[in-house]
Amino acid sequence: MIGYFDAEDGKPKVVLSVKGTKRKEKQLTALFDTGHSGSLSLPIFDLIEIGAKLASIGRAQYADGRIGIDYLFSVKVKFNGIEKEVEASMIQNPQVTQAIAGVQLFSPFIALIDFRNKKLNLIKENDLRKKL
Amino acid sequence: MIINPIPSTINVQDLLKKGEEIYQQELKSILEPGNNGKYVAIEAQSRKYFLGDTKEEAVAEAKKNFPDKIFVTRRIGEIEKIASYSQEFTPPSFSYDWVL
Repeated sequence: MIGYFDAEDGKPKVVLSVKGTKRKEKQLTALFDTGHSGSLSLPIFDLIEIGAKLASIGRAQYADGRIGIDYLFSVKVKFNGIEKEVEASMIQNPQVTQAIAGVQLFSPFIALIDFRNKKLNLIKENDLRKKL
Repeated sequence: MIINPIPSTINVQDLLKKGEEIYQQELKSILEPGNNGKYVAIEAQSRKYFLGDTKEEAVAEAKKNFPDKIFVTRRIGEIEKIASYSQEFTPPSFSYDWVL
């Protein structure tokens, strides 16, 4: 299991390893945000540290109406013994140090969040069907 | 020493401008409204484009053909809206001083 509920803030977190173009692999905990439309958002300093390669740029509108630029970087992510390459968006505010993971990152796993018992499990759909 | 994750060889504003020109002049009439809500990744030099249901999918498809290029992404139709945790926007001309 790679997920847990953080006792400090009560939020679901997942443990990931990320890698860019440098050999260095970094382990980090990401907030698991079920409302995140992408795979992964990484703080700017994590992207620098692992040497992530810029893959795309695009204009986007922020909640307050401003138009900004969204940057995607190619990152290799390891979790639960599997490795996949994803396009991670850059969290541009240097004061934000928390990575954010979306449900898309964990495909083909299904995330089961038990808020009452504070448990977070990732399970493959076939395994879930066997249990039901 | 200044470290910035955006390569210094890339002029972000120029690349965005070129991507938007290609979209408006060549792709808008082809892609809208049938693909509204999907994403397009444009390789500005070749003017080739790749579609995806998400921005990540469009870029992943584009990388299969151009593994070393930087693409311009765009939501087809209305501009993409970004979630609140990305709101604190730093202008693209930024740089960070980092002592190694």
